[in-house]
Amino acid sequence: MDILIAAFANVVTPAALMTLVLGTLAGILVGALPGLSSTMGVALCIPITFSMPPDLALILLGAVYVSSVYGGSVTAILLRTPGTDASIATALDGYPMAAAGRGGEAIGMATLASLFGGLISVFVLLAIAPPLSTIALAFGPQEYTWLAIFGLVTIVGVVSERPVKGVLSAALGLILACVGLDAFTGEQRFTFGQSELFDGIPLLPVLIGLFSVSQAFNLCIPRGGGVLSEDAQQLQGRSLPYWSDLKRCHRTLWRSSLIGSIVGILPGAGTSIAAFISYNEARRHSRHPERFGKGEVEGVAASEAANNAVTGGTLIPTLTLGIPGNAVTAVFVGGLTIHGMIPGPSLFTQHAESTYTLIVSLLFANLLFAVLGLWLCRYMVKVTRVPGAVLGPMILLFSVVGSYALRNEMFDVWLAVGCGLMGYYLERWRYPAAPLVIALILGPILEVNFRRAMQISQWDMTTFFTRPLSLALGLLVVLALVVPFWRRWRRRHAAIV
Amino acid sequence: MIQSRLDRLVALATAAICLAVMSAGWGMRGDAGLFPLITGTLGVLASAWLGLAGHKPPTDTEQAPACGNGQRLVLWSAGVVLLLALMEPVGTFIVVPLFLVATFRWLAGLRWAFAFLLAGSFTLAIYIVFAWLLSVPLPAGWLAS
Repeated sequence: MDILIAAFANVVTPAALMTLVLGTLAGILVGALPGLSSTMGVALCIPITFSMPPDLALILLGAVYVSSVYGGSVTAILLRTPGTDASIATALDGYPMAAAGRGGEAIGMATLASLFGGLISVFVLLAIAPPLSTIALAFGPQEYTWLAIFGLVTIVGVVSERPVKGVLSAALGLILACVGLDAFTGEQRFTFGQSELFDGIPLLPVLIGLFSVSQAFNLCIPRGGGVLSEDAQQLQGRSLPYWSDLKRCHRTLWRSSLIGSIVGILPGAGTSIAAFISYNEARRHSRHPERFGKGEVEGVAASEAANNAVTGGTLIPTLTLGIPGNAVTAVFVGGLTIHGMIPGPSLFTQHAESTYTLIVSLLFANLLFAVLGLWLCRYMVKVTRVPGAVLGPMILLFSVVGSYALRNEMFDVWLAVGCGLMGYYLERWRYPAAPLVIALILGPILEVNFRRAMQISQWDMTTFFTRPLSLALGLLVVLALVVPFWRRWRRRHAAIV
Repeated sequence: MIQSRLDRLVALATAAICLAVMSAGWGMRGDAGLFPLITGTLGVLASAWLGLAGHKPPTDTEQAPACGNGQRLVLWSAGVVLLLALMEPVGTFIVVPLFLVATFRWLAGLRWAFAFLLAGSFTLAIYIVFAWLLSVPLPAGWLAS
């Protein structure tokens, strides 16, 4: 308790609060801009922290991390250009809401849901971090394989009106994930001699292309194009969600926050899995699942609560075991080490005050981005009124420069624009792009863990069914596959009768 | 072209790609080809499913994709290709404002003065965020000296 009080005292000093504000603003900007990611934002702050005391350094890194995850939702909702892969699910319902003149409501709900998810994960981190870290240790390659499959099955079911198109999109994404040097044998797979592809197809240019660049095409090509539909042009729109919507979504918020916190604990699982699983669960439990994907505010609440709940979850294995939960926390580990704090069990004993200062600062960072987000909401929404032919080139240029910024390679820029053209036609031909991107993310996780499990068990397939956790996840996958078909059969049967 | 015919064409094209992937995977060293084989098979099965589903009579919802503005698509695509091709040799901060002025003027129909003002402001924003704050070494081209 004394440690917590000392941590609070460290966070409310003028220097710490100023650092929090700057970190939050920078994080929102980094998250919102296509081409910049949370990982980049935190990595770019590391050199700035060299001359800072350890407490302020951690406060800055934590603030950038949590607010960049939130920042991605702003552009995902207003422009259908997710700033981070975690916000793809948010765009599914957020953008239709913005197009209908309800962008303010969507951002308001995203802000409050992000706050809720972030606060829950911080409390989980504070209260039960060490015992929860044992869950991370219980997951082996078999469990990760099933988790990746579960993620893929969920996403395919969620985003496509016709599952076959989602499966096809996911299959193409998995094929793209094979490109590069094989992790086990070093074999060049589908690189065609291009050294830029040795590390695989870079995710960020594909994400930027399929969503941001294709959106630039969508805005520029139709004469008189824009974000708002014709009917929505006349609407004023609210800047906050309705109280009735908030009440309706409270179960979703709790469920999504828990899903996000748990998925976040698993190293390498990824924020996008948590967002899509939560979105799917919200749709399953909703009285009106047919509204999802067409501007249902509960969809925005589900994905955003999960997104931000992951942030606290990923810090659990990072701080308690020294195992980074994702790329951002891997950079965090670097930041901690630079300041003489080695992640692991000793962090909560030898550097207890600094560690709890970081955790308490996450609380404040969540509150701060919520206040800023709700205040700026009414101004941010005005961007939807900008004509498409003015907005489109700006989005394209941010995407081009952002793609270049990744590796300073024009190859990435051409890749992004090529994917943009592909995404433009995918949308017109009614093929979903999200499964392709998610498969590109989950493909390496699935392949590496599958092959690792097979090598450990000497190619005995029963290894995926003999471990209790593995079996439970496998059953979840089967249920996720079977239940939608069963429901559809029941509806048809009821209609005939 | 109606949706179902388009779907069958897409199914055919993706099946061909997936078969090529499977064939390449078959010849790979060790178990490197295992995943390409599995994903290629998944792709072929999905293509077959899509192709067979496309043979069903079209329903009311299966409309043909809406016609786009072909001329604007070609102009815009040409502009983008030119932007990318000239970014390295000519320089980011020459090509970007020119691209913006051209699109604001000919696609958005803005007045010259406003187009230049908007293009200049946006180029400055890109410079501040990427070149100054983030120190991204954007291609300088003619401005390199």
